Amino acid sequence: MNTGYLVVILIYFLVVLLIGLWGAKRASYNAYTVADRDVSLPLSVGTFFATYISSATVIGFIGYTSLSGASIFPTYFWGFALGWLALTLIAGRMRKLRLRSVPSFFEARFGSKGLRVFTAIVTVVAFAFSVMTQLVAGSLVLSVVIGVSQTFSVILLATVLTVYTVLGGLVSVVRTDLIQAGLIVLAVAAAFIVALTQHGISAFNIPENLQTMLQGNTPTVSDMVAMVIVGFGGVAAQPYYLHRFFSTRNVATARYMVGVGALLAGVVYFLIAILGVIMPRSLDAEHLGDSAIIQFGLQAGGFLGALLLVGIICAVQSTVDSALHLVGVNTTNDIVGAAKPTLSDRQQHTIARTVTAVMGVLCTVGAVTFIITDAGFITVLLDIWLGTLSSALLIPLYFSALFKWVSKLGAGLSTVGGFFGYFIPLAASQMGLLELPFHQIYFGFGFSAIGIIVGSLVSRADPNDEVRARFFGKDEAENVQQ
Amino acid sequence: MFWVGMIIFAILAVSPIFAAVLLNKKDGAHLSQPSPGVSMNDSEH
Repeated sequence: MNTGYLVVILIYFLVVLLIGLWGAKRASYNAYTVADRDVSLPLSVGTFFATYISSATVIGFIGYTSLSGASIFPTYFWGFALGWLALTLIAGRMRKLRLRSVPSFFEARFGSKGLRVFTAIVTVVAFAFSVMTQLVAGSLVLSVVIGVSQTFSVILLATVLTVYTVLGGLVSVVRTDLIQAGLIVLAVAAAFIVALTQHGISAFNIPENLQTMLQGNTPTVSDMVAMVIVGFGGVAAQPYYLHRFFSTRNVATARYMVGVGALLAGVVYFLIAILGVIMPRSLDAEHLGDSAIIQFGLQAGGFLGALLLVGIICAVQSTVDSALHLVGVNTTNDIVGAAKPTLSDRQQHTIARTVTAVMGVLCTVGAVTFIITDAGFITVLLDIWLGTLSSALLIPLYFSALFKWVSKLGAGLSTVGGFFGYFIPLAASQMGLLELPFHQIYFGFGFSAIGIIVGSLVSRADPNDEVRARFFGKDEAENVQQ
Repeated sequence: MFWVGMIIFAILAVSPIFAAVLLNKKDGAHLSQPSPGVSMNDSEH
């Protein structure tokens, strides 16, 4: 066991737990769900960035670039950056709606409780799988670096983040995210500086085999386009980024949160891509891929090793706490709340905390089961659910927010069409029942687009005055008058 | 092609901050506007 690394990680856990305790002082349902809609720009940027950078980013993207080079751009970076732009464009409108959750958008826009509950269920299931896989990834790093069992690591990791999330909800999550964001930037920058000192300016010479984009997940131009769409949809329709808009202090903060957060994420992505192409020169071929940055940290040891370990754990916790928080909020607000709308603030707060705690325990049990049985199907399910989520949400949400002509039937068909359009072809191809001629995202977005157009043509949209004023009014009055 | 990919990414990554500045200017929105907090006018959602 590496006692030094264990002490470092325990100090970090203590700090985030203390923040959770502090957040518990603001004990109300609005504080728990949207941090009283008073999150400042530094906190907003921190939480957007930290939620954005997951273990997949730090571990997965460096590993992917070390093997597939320039394919990282169409596979992930370009689509994500387009997603940031879409989020900026919709930020002001989402903030003005003063909602508490993304699924409630559909009831506010169309008066459709069914659509609200459906999107809430899809989101909750997707994020439960996301929490499990992220916990497994984080615990693997913790166990390899510290030298404790992976089961112990997953329980430690999950307990800490569940406790501070349950205690303070979004109030705690945004504050821990700010610290986690700082540590992630420090860790990646430190690794980059160490790599530069090892290789000098030649670090920027890209090896021949890593130059082409037509490799890895993007062997053809069609695959490149598909992956850009997947990345774009995955970011633009991601409920935990959209949820952040409801908590910002005002409209300007909502927009700058994404603008500044994207700049910061862009710089970190640049460092990650360069680290990825350096890895083949720093490590043996057998250590490339997902274990590359961990091996690099272990080789460097000392301060860099500790910083990288904490940075990776921060990346895991900052994403998982947001996912877990959203599971609690969406279940309480949009599933329990839709069935029982007369609950008091206190009752809702208690339910949200209880659901978050129970889901934290269930996801931990799921992650432990995953480790013990080595069940690879969970990551397959995660891919299916996340693709399904963006197919089911992106087009109906953005079109309903931006265009008056979208009808309730159009939004419903688009959501259901996107959900089944992605899920059924992918599930059928996974089971070997059919061979897809192209990526399943084309089916998902295709059916979703057809659904919104056909549904809105068949049934005319007729938004009432309240919906017109709330969704398409031009005023910024809500920020000034109240 | 690696650096071409990086340049395209850089252009895309800086576009949100320009979009945010332009949209906030167009709306007259600024960071110092007071938070509306949570009021009775909030959605029951």
